Amino acid sequence: MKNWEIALAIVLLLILMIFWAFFARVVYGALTMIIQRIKIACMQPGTAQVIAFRVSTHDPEDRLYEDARPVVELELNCETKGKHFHLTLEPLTSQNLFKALELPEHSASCWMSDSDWHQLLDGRWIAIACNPRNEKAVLIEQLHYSREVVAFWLIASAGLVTTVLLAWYT
Amino acid sequence: MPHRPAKPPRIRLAEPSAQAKRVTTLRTGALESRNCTAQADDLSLWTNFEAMEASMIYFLIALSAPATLFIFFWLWALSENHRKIYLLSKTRKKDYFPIRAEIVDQRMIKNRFHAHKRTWVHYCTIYLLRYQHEGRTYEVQYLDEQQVGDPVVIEKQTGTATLYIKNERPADAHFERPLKAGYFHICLGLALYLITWVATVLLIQGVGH
Repeated sequence: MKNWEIALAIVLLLILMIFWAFFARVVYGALTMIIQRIKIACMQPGTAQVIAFRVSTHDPEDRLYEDARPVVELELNCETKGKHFHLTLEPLTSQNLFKALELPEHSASCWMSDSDWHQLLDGRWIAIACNPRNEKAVLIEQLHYSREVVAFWLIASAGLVTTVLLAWYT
Repeated sequence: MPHRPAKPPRIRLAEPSAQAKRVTTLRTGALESRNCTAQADDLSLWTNFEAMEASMIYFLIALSAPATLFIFFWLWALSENHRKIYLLSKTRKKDYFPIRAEIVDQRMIKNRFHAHKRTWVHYCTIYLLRYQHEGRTYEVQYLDEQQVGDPVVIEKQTGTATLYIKNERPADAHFERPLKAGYFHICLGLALYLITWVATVLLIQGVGH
């Protein structure tokens, strides 16, 4: 082998290793995502009462928010299986909050005054899904979506396994 | 209570404690290994497997990455096909109709845009829209991002907007025309689904078998 061929082989191997690392990263991400979805799907549906809330508008330059529509942080009082605990939900966009409250998604949150927010949220009951063991909660819509996704993943994997078994044993 | 004299402390000098024993043994072992007389079952000279155990899972993931990725992709495709048919059949019965709303107010708010790994922050207009249905008045807000592919909602010449609502929930307005699947779409979805499963069987068994 000539020198340039060895160099080319080494370069190709390096490129292959980079691709390999990329694959591994994607697989790791997918696994984490599926585990997260399964965790959410295993939560219990329940209700919680709003104790406190904070409405704020964020600058989209801080990279966490898409736009400057109001964002609402809720402090909830949950009770499941005789266990009582308080928790603070992640900041919700007003669209997601309205969906959770069974109101129209595009209600005019930018034109709502403080008294409007109080009227909407004071002592309000909200449907959530929570895990009382580690005191975590998400909105009920996330639970429905996660259950749907996990169910279809299970169906697909069961079908694949059945096909493989049939192919091996027939 | 009568005064009792304090007990004298018990002192043991005869044998060393278990801890001290272990230390002594370890010391002698070290001395022995230094003198090259270590026994065959002494694992301390070998690789530290306990430390490797944590990193082994990443190694295994990396080793099986391309195959796993392909299997994941295939499972995702199957489940997504299935889910799409489910959603199509759910949207089968929905009938929305367009309604004209008037622009009541407008404001400027900041909005973030992404295009191929780049991000910009712009000022966008948010409109307050008002419409009437069966004698009642409803208000919604619409953020006009003016991105390529967005539906044309606002008509500035007339000061109106087109929304889509349903008779059951007139307050819940949509800005895009919601999908209403026909039987053709459902059949197409089913055909795609069947094709994917046939491809699965062919991939597993091979074409000629």
